[in-house]
Amino acid sequence: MASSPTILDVPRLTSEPVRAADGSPADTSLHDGVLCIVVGLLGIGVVMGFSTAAQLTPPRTGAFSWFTPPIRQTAFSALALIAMVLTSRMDYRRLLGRTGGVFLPHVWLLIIAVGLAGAVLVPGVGMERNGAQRWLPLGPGALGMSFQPSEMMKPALVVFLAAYAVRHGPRLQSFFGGAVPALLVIGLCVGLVGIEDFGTAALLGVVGGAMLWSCGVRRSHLVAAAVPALAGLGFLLWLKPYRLQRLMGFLTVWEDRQGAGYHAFQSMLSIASGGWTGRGLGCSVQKYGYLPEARTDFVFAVLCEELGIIGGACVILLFTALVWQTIRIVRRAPDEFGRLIALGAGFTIGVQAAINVGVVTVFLPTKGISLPFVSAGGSSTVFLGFLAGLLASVGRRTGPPQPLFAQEAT
Amino acid sequence: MALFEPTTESPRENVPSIAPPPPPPRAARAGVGILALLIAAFVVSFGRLAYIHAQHGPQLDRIAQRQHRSVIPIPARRGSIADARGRILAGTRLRPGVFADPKVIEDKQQAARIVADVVGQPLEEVLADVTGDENRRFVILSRDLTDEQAARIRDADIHGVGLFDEPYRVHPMTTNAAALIGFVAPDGHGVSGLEHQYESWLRGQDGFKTVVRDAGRRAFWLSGAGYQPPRDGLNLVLTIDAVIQEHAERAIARAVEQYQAESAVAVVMRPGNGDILAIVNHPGFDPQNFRDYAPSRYRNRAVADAHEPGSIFKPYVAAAALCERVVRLDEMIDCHNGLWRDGARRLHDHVPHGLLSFTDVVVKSSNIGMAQIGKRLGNTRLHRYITAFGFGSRTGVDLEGETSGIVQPLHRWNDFSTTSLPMGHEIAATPLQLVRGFAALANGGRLVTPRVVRAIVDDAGRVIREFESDEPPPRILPESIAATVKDRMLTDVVLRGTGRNAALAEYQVFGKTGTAQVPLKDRPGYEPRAYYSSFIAGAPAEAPQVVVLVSICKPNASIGYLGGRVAAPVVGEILGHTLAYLNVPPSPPRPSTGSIRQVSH
Repeated sequence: MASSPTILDVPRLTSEPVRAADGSPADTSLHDGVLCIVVGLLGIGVVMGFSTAAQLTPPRTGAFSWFTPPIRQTAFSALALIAMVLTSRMDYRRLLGRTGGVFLPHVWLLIIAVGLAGAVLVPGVGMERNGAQRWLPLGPGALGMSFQPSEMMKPALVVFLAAYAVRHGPRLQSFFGGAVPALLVIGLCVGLVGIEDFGTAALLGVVGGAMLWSCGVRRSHLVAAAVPALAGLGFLLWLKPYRLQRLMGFLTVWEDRQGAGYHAFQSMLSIASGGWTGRGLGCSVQKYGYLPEARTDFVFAVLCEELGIIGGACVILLFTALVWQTIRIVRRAPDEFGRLIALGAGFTIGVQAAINVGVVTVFLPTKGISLPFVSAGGSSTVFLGFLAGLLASVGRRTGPPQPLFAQEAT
Repeated sequence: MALFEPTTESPRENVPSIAPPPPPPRAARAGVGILALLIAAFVVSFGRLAYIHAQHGPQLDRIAQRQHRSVIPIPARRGSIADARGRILAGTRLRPGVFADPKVIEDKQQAARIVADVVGQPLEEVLADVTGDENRRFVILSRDLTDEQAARIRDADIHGVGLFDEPYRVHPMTTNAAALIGFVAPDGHGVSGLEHQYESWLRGQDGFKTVVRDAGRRAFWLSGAGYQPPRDGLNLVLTIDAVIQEHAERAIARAVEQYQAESAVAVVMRPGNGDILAIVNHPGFDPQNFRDYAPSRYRNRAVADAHEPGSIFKPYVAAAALCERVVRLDEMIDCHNGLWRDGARRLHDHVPHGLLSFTDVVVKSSNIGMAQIGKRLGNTRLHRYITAFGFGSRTGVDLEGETSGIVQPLHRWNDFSTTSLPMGHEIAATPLQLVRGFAALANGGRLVTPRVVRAIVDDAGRVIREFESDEPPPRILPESIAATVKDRMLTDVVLRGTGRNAALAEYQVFGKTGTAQVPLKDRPGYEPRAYYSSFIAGAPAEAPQVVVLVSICKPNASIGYLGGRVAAPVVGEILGHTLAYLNVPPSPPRPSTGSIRQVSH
């Protein structure tokens, strides 16, 4: 071990079949499962993208121009697919980098993400849309593309925390030596993102907390950290008053359906008017201006209206299957790093989906969280594809399942 | 709880070994637990979907339908009113108007400027409409645009400003038979005349369509089963002939102008079947701009107003006398040189006469002679015949607002009645009643029921309902008596009597003049020098095709007021034109002493 120049003795980048310890081809069914599920979700997303793009006024540009939303969504979904497949072929352990080396991918990933998330807040650099400054211009201006650093933050934080836990394993038990640095990193990410994007920040916080919870940080430390975390939450709410308004609107959907509860109420109308089997693909009426953000945050409501509760249940089932795959991968992961990366990736996608469905079904207050792979959105889809690729990458190298309980292990 | 086995060299070189890792159950267990929670959340999400549907589904669905759907009425086209030859007297067209939805207009200033510029309204008015209450989603900015204006509005393509079609009533013949036809209120309902009377036939039934709208209120598809086509209204075909009507109106207008009269009524009817060819009420009104006229002009005075007929009533009494054989045609009657006392009553003749044959009593319109005939008949017989001629009861014409006139019940008649009625006093008759009675003299003694509406037809021309009576009209006089009155008395009125001004070169006219005084409105008595100058006539005498009554109210007495002078020429003109128009073969009359009018074909 000591003779090895790298901490992990694996090929740098391989497209060869991964082999198990005995040399036989490894079981890639988990990897394949993740890919299939994500491809399914991306396909549903593209179809819904074309459905929600229906409008009465003809598009100013041609039907198949780069500027028509469903065309872009198709392109980004393809990009996400490529990112996922490439990532799944890469050995996730390369993200740890060389011991003592300068190039530590997980660190650089986080530094870039934090830097961009900071840059987006600088006036003149970040672009504002719908009253939120969340975007950086990307590529030639003629393409009108932009980049959302908060989306990059998701894989960056997951990878960093997993690497951090692996690298500082024994010290995690100590409060200041282990827990606090991790918590500070989480706090930095959540804070930077949360100024403009409360929903993603909450998601990052939940994911970060769950990873720390699972990796060996003392739970009493985590509970102690909850106090400043709640204070920070309050600060973020205070920063943009509309957030509180939305929270309140969620409670009074029926009473205030023209005001703060408008989004939520229209979402319920969509679901109810779909019934069990839906109006039929493409036949949503709510998407014609009644339901705000029909392409992005509320695409699930349109899906329920067109395909019914049964269609919605199928999508929920796909996410459930993804989480189920994640559980199996976590149990069979060949190492702790893989286990934590798989957990973080699967959990990020799953929680985001659960929050989105919760918002659409008016179970949670309205916040800007999209449905992974299905909602339109370039940065979001591509980086979620990257996360799914990491999950699949771990899934390619699984061994026998870990026993869940200590007595079994011994 | 070591996650990784530390190597011996240095804590920094904390290399995790890949195989076989000692079981670190915590990560797996905690992670699996958290992920299991997530699965539970998905189950809850599905439950939530089902809950929304089960708990609020019907209610939300109703709200959604209310939000998405709206029912748009499709107005039925109102039926037309056409004359006997299919000329449209009243029809419905669509004209464009421009409306605004203030809520969705982005630049209200500019929108108002464009609209004001196109329709030529003051900018402030349009701006006030556009910037008004945003909850009124349909504000009419201007009605009655030209096609060119509508095209300009359409080309401007302002979001929130649109065009709508609005039905409106057109009267291609303008004032032609206005009082008869009536008019339609802006809301599309017939208010007076035939428009009101036949409302249920003309109106049709509005249809509707249910459309699904987007949030911008644009309709984009039809909702299933939400369509009912409109049923257009049916069309009226009248017996009125617009050409005869038009000519009669002009003739009346000229006479009214010439004699500075207050008003005039004319009725043109076919004596054989009661078809009314024209009803003139002068002054008339323009039904398209009915608000510009006094409501009194809306009245069809030919059926709604009754007054003392005066001397044109004499033929009916003469017919009664001949029927009852109380007098012979050539019997000489002493007319007392223009002044006769009968009990307490003094009677005057306009022109004093000595002995006159009964024929000449009528021809020269002697009141004194007729009074003596009345005395011979007696009240009972007089009343019976007057009633038989249809006076005192409605003619049954298919028009609203008809009055029955006034014939006092017999028990209220006294000695004055005996002498008053034969000269057309103590009775109020409508012009149509007089025409109908006269038609009985013209058609051989049958009392026809006048009619104005011939049939109701649909747009394809199929007759839906025909107002044709199969039964012949009831006989009230022997044919010989009617012929005698017509040929021996009434033709002489035109040939050598008071009606010479109505004579025609091509046709033998028969008629009777009348000059009745206009009663005071507020007390008994008559207005000084105020007359109804009337003439009633038919032609040609051999086989009468047309009867005409002209009654001119309050001509300027210093120019002329006698029926023979004021009304007879108008009747002659209308008769001549109508007979020529109807292609009645000319049959030159006997030579007469009067001036003869030439008919121009």
